[in-house]
Formats: sequence, C-alpha cells, structure tokens
Amino acid sequence: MIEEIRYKLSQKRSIAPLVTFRVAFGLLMFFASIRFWYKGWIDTLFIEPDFFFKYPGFHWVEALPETGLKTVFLFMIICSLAIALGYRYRAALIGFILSFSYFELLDASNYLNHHYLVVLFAFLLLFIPANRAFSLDLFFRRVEARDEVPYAYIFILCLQIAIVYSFAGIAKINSDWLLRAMPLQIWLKEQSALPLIGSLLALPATAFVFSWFAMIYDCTIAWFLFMKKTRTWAFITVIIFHSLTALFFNIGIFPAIMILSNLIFFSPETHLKWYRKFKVFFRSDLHRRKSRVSMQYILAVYFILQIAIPLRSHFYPHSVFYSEEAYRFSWRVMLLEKAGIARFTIEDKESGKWMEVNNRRYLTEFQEKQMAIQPDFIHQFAQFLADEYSRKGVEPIVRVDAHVTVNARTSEQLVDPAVNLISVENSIKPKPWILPERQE
Amino acid sequence: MILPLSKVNIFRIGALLFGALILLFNSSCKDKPQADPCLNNYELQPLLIQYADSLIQPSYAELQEDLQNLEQSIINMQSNADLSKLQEARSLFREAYNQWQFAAIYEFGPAETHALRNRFNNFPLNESQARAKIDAEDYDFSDLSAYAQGLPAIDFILSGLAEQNDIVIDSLNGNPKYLAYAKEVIVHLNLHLTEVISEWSTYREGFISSTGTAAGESISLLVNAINEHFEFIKRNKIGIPSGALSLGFTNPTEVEAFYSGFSVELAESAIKASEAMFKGRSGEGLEELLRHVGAEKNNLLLADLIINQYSEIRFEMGQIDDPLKNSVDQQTDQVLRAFNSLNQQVIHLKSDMPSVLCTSITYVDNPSDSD
Repeated sequence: MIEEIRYKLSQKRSIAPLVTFRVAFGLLMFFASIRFWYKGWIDTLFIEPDFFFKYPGFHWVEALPETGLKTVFLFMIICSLAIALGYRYRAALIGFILSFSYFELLDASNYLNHHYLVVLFAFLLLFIPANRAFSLDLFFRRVEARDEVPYAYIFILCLQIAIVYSFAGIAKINSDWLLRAMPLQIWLKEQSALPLIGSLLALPATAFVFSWFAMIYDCTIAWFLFMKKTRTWAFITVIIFHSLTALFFNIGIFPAIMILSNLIFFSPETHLKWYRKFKVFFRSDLHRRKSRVSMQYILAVYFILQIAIPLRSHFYPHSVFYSEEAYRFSWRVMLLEKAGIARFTIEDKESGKWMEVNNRRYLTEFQEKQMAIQPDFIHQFAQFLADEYSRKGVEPIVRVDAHVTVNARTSEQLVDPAVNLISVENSIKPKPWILPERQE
Repeated sequence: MILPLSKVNIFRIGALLFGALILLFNSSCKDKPQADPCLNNYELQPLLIQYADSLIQPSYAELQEDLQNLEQSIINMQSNADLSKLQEARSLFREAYNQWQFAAIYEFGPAETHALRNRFNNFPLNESQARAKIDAEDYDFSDLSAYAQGLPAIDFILSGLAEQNDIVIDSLNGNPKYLAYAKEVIVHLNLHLTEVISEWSTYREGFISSTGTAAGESISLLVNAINEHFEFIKRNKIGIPSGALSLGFTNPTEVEAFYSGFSVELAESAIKASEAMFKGRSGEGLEELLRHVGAEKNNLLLADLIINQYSEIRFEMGQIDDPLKNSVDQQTDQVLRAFNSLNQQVIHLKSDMPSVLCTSITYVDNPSDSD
C-alpha cells in the first residue's frame, strides 16, 4: 500500500491547481489585511491595550510603537500581493509568515482558528513551487517554467483541508452540539430579526437540523471532495454551507478561505479549462526530468504534528470546553457560547489588607471578556497584577473568584479561589489549580 | 483518477474513522435537561408590558411628583428659610433620593438618551466646583461628567453648609444663591425626567414588541440594566467607601448623600429596587423566567438562590449603621461582609442569569472576527 501511495504521489499533474491556490490565497490575504486596517483593528487590538496576553514560549514578542506596527502591517500587505503575483515568491511567503505571525503572537486573546490556518497554508506553500507558472518570477526569468508537478504538492494542501474539516467534525460529536443543539440554538435565535427566514431560524428544530448537518458536513465533506463523482455537488454544498455561516455569524474571512481553498480539490483539467476560458495558457513542460518532492521528511513530521496536536486534549484532566487547556490549534470552531466573570483580589502578605481589582483599568473590554474564560490568561493577568503591586510596595497574594458559563448552563467556579495564583505554575502542563467541573 | 487511494480504501478508512469518532464521543450529560432553554416557548410580551406599565413608567411618575414637591419646598424657603421649612425640604429630598434609586435601574432607551444617572446622581460631590458654580450663578448642567450637580448638590445645600441647623438657615437666608442653585438643579432634573416620561409613551411600543434575545432586544436591556445598577451599588455605594477597592484604606468622603448621611438607607433602597425588578409584577418578571427555564445550580433553583441572596444582603446591610461615612471605619468588617454578600449576587445576576436566558450581558462585540 505504501508503494501505491508513493507512486500516486509522485505522478505528474498540471501545476494549474497550485497556481489557482497561490493566486487566491495571496489575493484573499491582500484584501483581508486591507479590511483589517480599514476597520481600525490595528488600533483597537494592538495600539489601545496596555497589556497583552502571550502564548507559551512567545512572551518576548512585544508590540512596536504605532508607526512600527503599521510599517510591519504594510509589509505584510505587500507580501500577500507578491504571493498572488508570484513575485519573489519564497521571500514573499517568508515575509508574510513572519509578519502575520508577529501580529498573531502579539496578543493571544485574539486567537482565531482561521488565522492559524492561514499560517499553515503559507507554510505549506513554502514547499510548493506554485510560482513556476503564471507568475512574475517566470516573467522576469527568475525561475524556470514548470508545467507539471508531482501530485504530492496538490495532495498536501488537500490533506491539510481534510484535517481541518475532520477535527472540526469530530469536535462537534458531543452531547451539547448534537443533543441540545447548543450553542447554535442561542446564536440562531439572535438572528430572529432577519427578514423572511428570521422566525424560522428561531425555531429549536432549525438549530437541531443545522447542528447535525454541520457535524455530518465537517466529518465527510473532505471525502466527497476527494471523489470525482461527488466533487461538483460537494463543492456546491461547500459554497452554500460557508455562505450561510457568513450570513449568520461574525466570522470574517473564514468562509472565503474555505471556499477558495477547496478549489484545490478540482482536477487539473478543470482548472485548465477555466484558465483557457480567460485566455490564460500554460506552456507544456520543457524540463521533464524526474522531480522529487522537496523535504519530504519535514512534511511527514508536519502532518504527524497536525494530527497529534488536536488530540493532545486527551492528556488533560478537565473537559477542554471548560478549562480550555488544549483548546487552541485543534479546529474546535463555533462550539462554545462561553462567558465569565473574574474578580481578582490582592492581599498584602504583611498587613493582611486586601482589595478587589478593577480589571478594566488594565484591559480592554474584549480582553477582559477573553481573559475571564481562559485559565492561562487569568494566570497571566494575575502575574501582571502581582508585578504592578510589588512595584507599589505591596507583597501581593493574588486570588481570583472566576465563574464561567458554557452553552446556556449556570456558572461553574473555574479556578480555586483560595489559590495564590503567583505561587502556581502556568505552562502547557495540566493545571491543578483549575477546579473540577460540577457533577450533578 | 486524481485519487491517491482507491475508493475501497477510502471507504475502509472512512468507516474506521467513524468508529473512532464514536469512541471519542464526549458524553458529559451531567445536567438535568433544562425545561425550556433559551425561552423558546415563552410569550415575552406580557412580561415586557408589566415592566413598562407597572414598574418603569410608575417609577418615573413617582420621582417626578417627588421632585415637584421638593422644588416647591425650596421655593418656600427662598422667601424666608426657617427650621420647619428646612426640615420639610430635607424630608422631601430624602423621599426623592430614595425614589431615585427605583428609577435609576432602567437606564436604557429614553433614560439612557438623557443620561439620567449622570444628571441625577454623580457622587461624591466636588464641593469646590459646586461652590464655584453656585457663586457664579452658573446653571449650565450639560456637562455629564461634572460632579457639582444633581441630587448630591441638593444634599450639600440642605445639609452641608454647616453642622448646626441654625447656621445652615442663616447661610441660606444670607446668600440667596444657594437656594437659587438648588432650584435650578431640580428644574433641570425635572426637565429631563419629563422628557423621558413623554418619550416612554412612544418608546413603549417598540419595547414591548422586541421579544428576541439578541443584544439590544428588551430582555437583554433588562438583564443588562439590573446588572449595571447592581454593580453600581456594589462598587460605588459600598465598595469604594469601604476600602475594598483600595487595600483597606477607607474613603468616607466618597459615600452617597455624604452631608445628610442616609447613605445606607439609599443603598438599601437601591437593593430593594433591584429585588423588585428581579421579581417583576403579577407573576411576570426575571424571577419567573428563571423558573420557567428550570435553571438550577447545585440542585437548587437559581431563582431561589437569587431571592435568598437578596434577603441575605438585606440582612447584612441592616447591620450597618448610618451614616456610612462613620461606619466604614467603625464597622469595617460588617461593611465588608455586606460587600461580599453583594459579590455573591453578582455571580448569579451577571453570570448565571444571562447564560440560562441565552441573552448577552454586554455589548462587547468582538473587535475583530470570531470563529
């Protein structure tokens, strides 16, 4: 079987699907970045906050002053355009990955699964010679034309998409999603003011239909896209599904990313047919030498990690929805209506005097909301408070009274209120200071 | 054939994967199913009508009457103040200030447009700023961030000019600017209150027909309103004076009604107002909604937990003596106990209630996208 796979992966295909992917990805990032800037999010997310939440291991990433931030952002916009045009392709990709990741790493409370996916796509493109046709690099004779590539290059993008869908689907197989239609029920009900379909959306039955459909869709869509017979219908489903989610939910560019990237599943013949319609012709390959996929082993490790990382939640004692240990990088999308309140108190070890903290003095409203539902952020903020008050001459004990609600339930106390948060560890290891969930 | 694997293999892998999914099924059915999550089978309009007609609008009407009486008593003093007139004005002021606690809670719609909370009750008073305005006969009260107007300014003029009543009376008679200022403050408050009342007659229609759960719909406005009001009690009326927000350093000058000293009484009225709003009227209210959805916590009904907590708060507050400016130092532990009992209720009102009613508590929208 392995031989069979190797053979299939090394078969030559037209480069056309990769070109489509490169151009679509670059253009989408170009417009998404401009949209981000235009909406003023550079200011609200990176300039206004005084305090930033960090990813483990990336505490050193600091926000530049405004001009610096905007310069890097502009650089990112230029890089995405260069990717689309295929101009200094690999350098543009590296520039894009670095600048995009920089903005992602600045504040972990902004984490979005689809931003993570963008980084992964850009990373995979680094291995893929998608600039060997229909590109400025070719026009300037920076690279040799190549019309055919091993199927593996197309396959790794398909595989990445299949992983995203499958894990998103698996995550939906839980009792809240399937048996209570939560949180879809909450969110669809909020759309009851929509004309025509509003009252339909508010029906609980609608939420159940959508929940089950979404689970089946996520679990199976990649397979239907793989198979030639079902591909066209699958793609139409993709368009309908993601358009609906774009209509109902505030999920930005995610639907566009998924719809466009799924074009990679179509056969090279289909891509070529469309290119011909727009008078774009691919030269036939002049260098039919045997080509190998570069850096196979790196890719193998990469995909093992892609499967292992979402499964890591099984090594943590708490439910991942509740504690959010191992929540990120696992394609758990749209699963939670979660809210919390976190009331911090600082006690002076020496005098025994205590006080309650006004979180909003240090955090934006959005940051506070994110912090209150995620223990690792609670810990980071506690650490920050400890530093603040140490400077004022207090020897602080920081405690938190944190309560979270998940999917229309009553609240649970998230963190042990007796624990001095600065005396406990905050790492990727399980956090014993998170309280067990209530069992009723 | 673009497939890397044969179809048979794909189905085999698919079946395996599906088997794995079943194994991964996270069966955490720990809660009793809610009777009616998200109020799908609840007719909200009668409840909204009760709030509009039996709670919100009457609270404004009563406040307006109290303000008019207060205004009249100030006018009476303007000719010649004496002890009985002063005492009458003070008692009418006390009535109006207590009644304000009931109106303060509904800060949405017209009340929000007119920023009633800022106009009526920005405390503590900035005394030097108030004195300067009184002296300059400056009756421009449009600055909502000013702390020299509203009921705290009346408090100062009726009770803050001196310790002894005869000196207060002498001051009022000696400098007509005091009472003139007091009168203008009330006229200003009344003006906006009257507008709120008249705007409510048209706002009502939209309010009672907004029966969804999204942010900005009526139920979300009510849940937000009770929470903002409650936070204000906790933080501004009790928390700040008690030192619970300043490492135990008490702030006796930051109490509500600093000069006349009935701060605890006002806080108790505010808590009563909160409880009354929670209970609603004629069996229609937030309490009933919580019973309807069957929300439970630790095997107790959330509605009961909240009612019990209100009575505990009332008990703890009842142990604090007025004036609060003295009690924060003399009964610090008791004040902090009351503060903690308020905190317990915040968990129920701000975290549990919006969750089980599927309504969002704040207008915090993601500044970017979500996924």
